[in-house]
Amino acid sequence: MYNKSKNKIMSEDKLHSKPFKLEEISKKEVFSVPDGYFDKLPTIIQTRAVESTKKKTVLVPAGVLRLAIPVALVVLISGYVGFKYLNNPVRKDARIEAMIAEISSEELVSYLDQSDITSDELLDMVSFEGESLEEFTPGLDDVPDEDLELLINDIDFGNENNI
Amino acid sequence: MEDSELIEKLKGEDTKNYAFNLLVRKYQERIYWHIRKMVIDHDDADDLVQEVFIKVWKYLDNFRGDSQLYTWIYRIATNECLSFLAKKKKRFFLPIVDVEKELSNHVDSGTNLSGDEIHLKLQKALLKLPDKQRLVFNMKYYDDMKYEDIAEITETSVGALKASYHHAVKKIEDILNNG
Repeated sequence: MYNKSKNKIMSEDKLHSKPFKLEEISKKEVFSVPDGYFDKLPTIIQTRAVESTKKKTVLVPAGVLRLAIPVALVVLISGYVGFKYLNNPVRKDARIEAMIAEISSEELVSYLDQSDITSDELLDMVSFEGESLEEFTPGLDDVPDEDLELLINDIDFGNENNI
Repeated sequence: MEDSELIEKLKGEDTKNYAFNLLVRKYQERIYWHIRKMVIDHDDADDLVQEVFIKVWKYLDNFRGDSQLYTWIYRIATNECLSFLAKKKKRFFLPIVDVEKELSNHVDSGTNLSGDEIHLKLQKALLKLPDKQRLVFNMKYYDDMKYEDIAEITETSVGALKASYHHAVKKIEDILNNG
């Protein structure tokens, strides 16, 4: 046992009669260990050291695991909810409408001019079911009939099936 | 076996295990007592001394030899002790006084204790010192280490260590006389 002893040992009586001076107290080890502890310790350590070399897997500290599990759960749940949300047909339409609403009319007209989509194809894509004409042409009622007649006469319908 | 020879053998694949066993046998008691005086409880000291040597084994390649082998091992042990005590305080949300009380109770409980009254009083007085000052005191007083070596272990200047030790001795003597 590693224990340094000093020759200057003071008796209890002497210690009580005058103030303690550290240098006058012997350096005695007050703690003890179980019998044979230091004989067994090297083997225990050696075994653990060799085992730690064999294990090449990355050990994650318990503290990190405690944090990682709830985080992973939150990510999984959010991912699932997000996936469901994005794939909901109603939400999908709403998102498309919102995206189109952000595009200015000028940009839309310019895009349609450059694209190969014909007026016929555009009309086919639009559903007028249940919609009133007023919704598409606000203020139409205020236009005098004469002006409307002149306007209609100016339009070249070409094919009557377009309507 | 000299440390230089031990280090050489630790570098060799064939001799590494044998040299490590020699290293543990050479330093286990010094490191154990260094830790035990800090954590007081034998089971805690046992866990920590094993951790220290496992770290020595793991990081042997990092030891460049610019410090002495024993100061390097002491530094690992010192850091393990300080983080153990810090964790203990955090884990139980205990103020320093309560940790001191708990350790003091271990001294009183008598498990694996063999000292007489004055030495038990000294141990309890030591617990009133801050952890780092206690470490410095133990290394100087019990282990008779040179200030230069303690400076290397604690990464503190020799002047600061001398002042710390001087104050520690004063405090302990005051506690023993008045406490």
